[in-house]
Amino acid sequence: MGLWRDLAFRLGALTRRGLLEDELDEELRFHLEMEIERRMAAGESRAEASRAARLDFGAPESVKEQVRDAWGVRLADETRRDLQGALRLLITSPAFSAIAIGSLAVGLGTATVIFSLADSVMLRPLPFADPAGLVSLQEVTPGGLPFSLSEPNLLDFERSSRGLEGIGAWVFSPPRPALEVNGTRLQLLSEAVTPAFFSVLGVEAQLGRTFDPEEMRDGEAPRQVVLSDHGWRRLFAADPAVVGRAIDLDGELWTVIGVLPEDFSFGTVKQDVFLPFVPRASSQRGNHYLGAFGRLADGTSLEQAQEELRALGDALAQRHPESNGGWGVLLRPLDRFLLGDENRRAHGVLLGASALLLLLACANISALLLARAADRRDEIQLRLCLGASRGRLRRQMMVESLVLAMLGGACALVLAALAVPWVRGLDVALPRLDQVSLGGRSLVFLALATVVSSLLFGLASALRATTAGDGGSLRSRRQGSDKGSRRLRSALVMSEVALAMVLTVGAGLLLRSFEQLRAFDSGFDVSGVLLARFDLPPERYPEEGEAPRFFFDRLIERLEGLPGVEAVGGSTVSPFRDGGTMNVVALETEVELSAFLPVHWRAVTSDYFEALGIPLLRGRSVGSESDRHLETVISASLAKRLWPDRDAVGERLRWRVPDGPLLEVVGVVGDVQDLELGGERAAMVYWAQRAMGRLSLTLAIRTGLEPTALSSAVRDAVREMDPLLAAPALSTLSGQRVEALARPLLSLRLVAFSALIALLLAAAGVYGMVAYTVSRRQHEMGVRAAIGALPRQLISLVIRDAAALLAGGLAGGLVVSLGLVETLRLLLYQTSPFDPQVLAVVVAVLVAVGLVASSLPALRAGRVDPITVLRQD
Amino acid sequence: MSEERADILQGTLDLLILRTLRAGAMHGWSISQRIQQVSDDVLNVQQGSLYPSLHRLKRRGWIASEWGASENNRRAKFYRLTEEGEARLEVETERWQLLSSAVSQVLQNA
Repeated sequence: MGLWRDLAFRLGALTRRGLLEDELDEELRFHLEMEIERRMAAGESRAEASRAARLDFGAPESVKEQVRDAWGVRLADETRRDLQGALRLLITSPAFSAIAIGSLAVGLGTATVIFSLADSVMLRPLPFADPAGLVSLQEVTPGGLPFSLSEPNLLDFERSSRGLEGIGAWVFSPPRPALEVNGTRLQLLSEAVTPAFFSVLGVEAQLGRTFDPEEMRDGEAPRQVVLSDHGWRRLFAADPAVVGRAIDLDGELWTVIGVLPEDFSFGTVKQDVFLPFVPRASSQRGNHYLGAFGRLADGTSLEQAQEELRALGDALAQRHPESNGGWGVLLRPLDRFLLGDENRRAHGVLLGASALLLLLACANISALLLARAADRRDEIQLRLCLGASRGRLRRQMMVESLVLAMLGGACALVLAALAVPWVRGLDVALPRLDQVSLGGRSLVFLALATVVSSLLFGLASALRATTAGDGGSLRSRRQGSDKGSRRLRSALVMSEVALAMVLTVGAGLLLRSFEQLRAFDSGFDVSGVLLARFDLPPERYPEEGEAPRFFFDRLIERLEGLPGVEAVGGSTVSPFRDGGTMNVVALETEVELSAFLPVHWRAVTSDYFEALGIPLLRGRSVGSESDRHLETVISASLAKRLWPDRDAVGERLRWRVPDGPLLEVVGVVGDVQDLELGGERAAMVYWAQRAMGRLSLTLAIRTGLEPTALSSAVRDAVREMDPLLAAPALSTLSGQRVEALARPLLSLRLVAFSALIALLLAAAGVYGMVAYTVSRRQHEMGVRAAIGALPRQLISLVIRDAAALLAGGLAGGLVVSLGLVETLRLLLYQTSPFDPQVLAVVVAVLVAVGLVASSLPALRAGRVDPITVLRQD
Repeated sequence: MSEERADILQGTLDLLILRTLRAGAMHGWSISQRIQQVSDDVLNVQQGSLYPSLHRLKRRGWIASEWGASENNRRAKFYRLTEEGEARLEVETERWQLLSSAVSQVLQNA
């Protein structure tokens, strides 16, 4: 209670300050007059009485000061005075202020943007209930590769596991249904998920409900969809009445049962709808295409659950050796699985880079403040002599630093507000990238970083200025009694050079790696190809029936007839966009599952190799006749692996399981890597699409023209063939390849930007230090010039100083760089973290930057006029 | 500095002010006059400590102030004891008596 009243009083004193001062004046004046009257009544003259009363009263200012003390506002008063002083100082030295605030703004701004990015993508917990209890569930191939689940295995794990209290799963390559909107069809992105998917995640619908596992036990999934918030806004203009409405997907009616919350996000795809998928025990056990996660039961650790599932996996392998022999199970925290190790490392590196840049900015400002403290030495000494306490002076200097930091932080906020929308809008496959914002967490980060920075750069000069040179130094203006301060500044500038070097080495390595990635040879010709993706509605084109074959045959024929088109081929995998489809094959004589090799496979049309420019090395392409469905084309590396000493054409290979079909090899083509840049060229088996009657196909249209010039002709051809079909999504092959570079490019850009700013700051640091030294040594230079030193000699004197700074910084930077580059290894493609070329270039760049920065003051030293300098004394 | 001695002096002055105000509302000058008179001119209250003391007591809520007309009809700031101040006065008086009797005991018998 007393505390509150005290605070209220102090606050009142602060807010009604003017009134209070006036009243105090009046009160004291009244007292004085009463005293004078008393004395006059005792017989003194007015003048005598007035003099005596004043003497008696003492200095009114000192009384007032003590009363103000009693008000409890002295700290606030002093702080206000410090603030005013700090602002005045900033205004009177605009160059200093601009450099300090500017470098801090860039440092803090970059750190805030990177924090916002990393926070959204990685640091913030997943938008699910108790995300720490969620683990990804994968099977592991006999070769040790984490892999997807099959339906029967999923059901067995679900039924037997005690350590996982629920398992949710989703289908890789889900359908892309077409929604009927005012007579036209719109292709949607969907996710097909098991009924328990949302309940295991602990996600509740913002409207309506999610799937109910009870409704979907054993059997057909009801025709229900759950909309994502994104899909709800995009397709239904956020109409709340959409729940319960029937919508037309691929010609069939589905009921919208709910809308997911706005912050829901799963993986990198921006799904419009979630469709139910009910796994069946009767599906093939060796057919893996499910992603899965589970929720750890209360009191079960990940290790315990992993142990239990390993045992379950072993039991399945014993019971079903033909499909499960040698397979294992792997649990990992779900957030790690969804983001991936490489992305996690990339964001860790970005956070580290921004911390280094901020540190550099602080070192830069600290050096500037030290220089200014040296200039303010006289003022400080004077105030110390006049009785100001050191603590008081330190507090004043820390307030100055804080003001500087706050202004820098405010500018950083503006910069970040400009940059964040850019980051959010980037087309990079990162989860929750579209949720990057300058929200509460980013603002708290910025505020903390601002305060910590002000401590970092303010402390050195505050301590230095108030401890150095006790007494006496009021006289010694020119003698270098500030040696300690100069040494500290040199150390700061050296660490700036070192930090800049670390960042530049990182940027250099990422750049080199990026160049290697960009030059990656995928094994086919990416230029001049337009890609069109089709997803036929199953109700009009029953899978494995005649209709899809007929449609694609006729469409390809039509497209081949378009002017400028050289070849048209289709594949079930869209390069650089889809995930891989894998299986295992062996020589036809093999029966042991362990002898089978993992391969990627695609179903393709006969002209696919020609359209993509994949060289046909032996034999011919897959046939276009429907009875030739057991023909296959394989990649050169697989041919060499299976038949090292023979021509593969004419041989047969066994597909998947011992009683799987035997495929006849009719051709061998060059190896490709069409999933990611920098990946290994995989062993590949091409089936005849003609035989499989697949509904989803990406057509590659090779042309001598600019590929996008064909867009409208392709759309017209499709509409003429089937007016009800959604228009295909079109893109260029080279465009999809560039998309694959987006993630490394983002890291490269952010690190390179940090490095560039770091170089600028380090250059400013070197310049400032050398210029300062030259100005301090002007007298000495003048004397040297007077006794015959040549300008060249004076210049080399200065350059020698600068070289010492650079050498110290580079040595430190080299040590730190070599210690840190190992963390980059995971992000580097065909680039050693210790790449000598990168190191050499970085050192050369830093030396050049340092010399340019010191050349201006050096030239000034060379032009020193002895007469003028000596006259100054 | 000499914080302790200042405290004792200040505490005593506070007590004197509170006691003086029990007679009724008074302005600063008459408080100092009154203390001087009652103590037979032994205690001379310095303005340098009177006003800080008054403002501090007010901040603690033991006295309150309002503007009124003085005996010669001028605007003056009058201080009066609050309820809380009265209670405080009792506590402080008791403590002072305890202390002073203890001190005199020591001075006489030690």
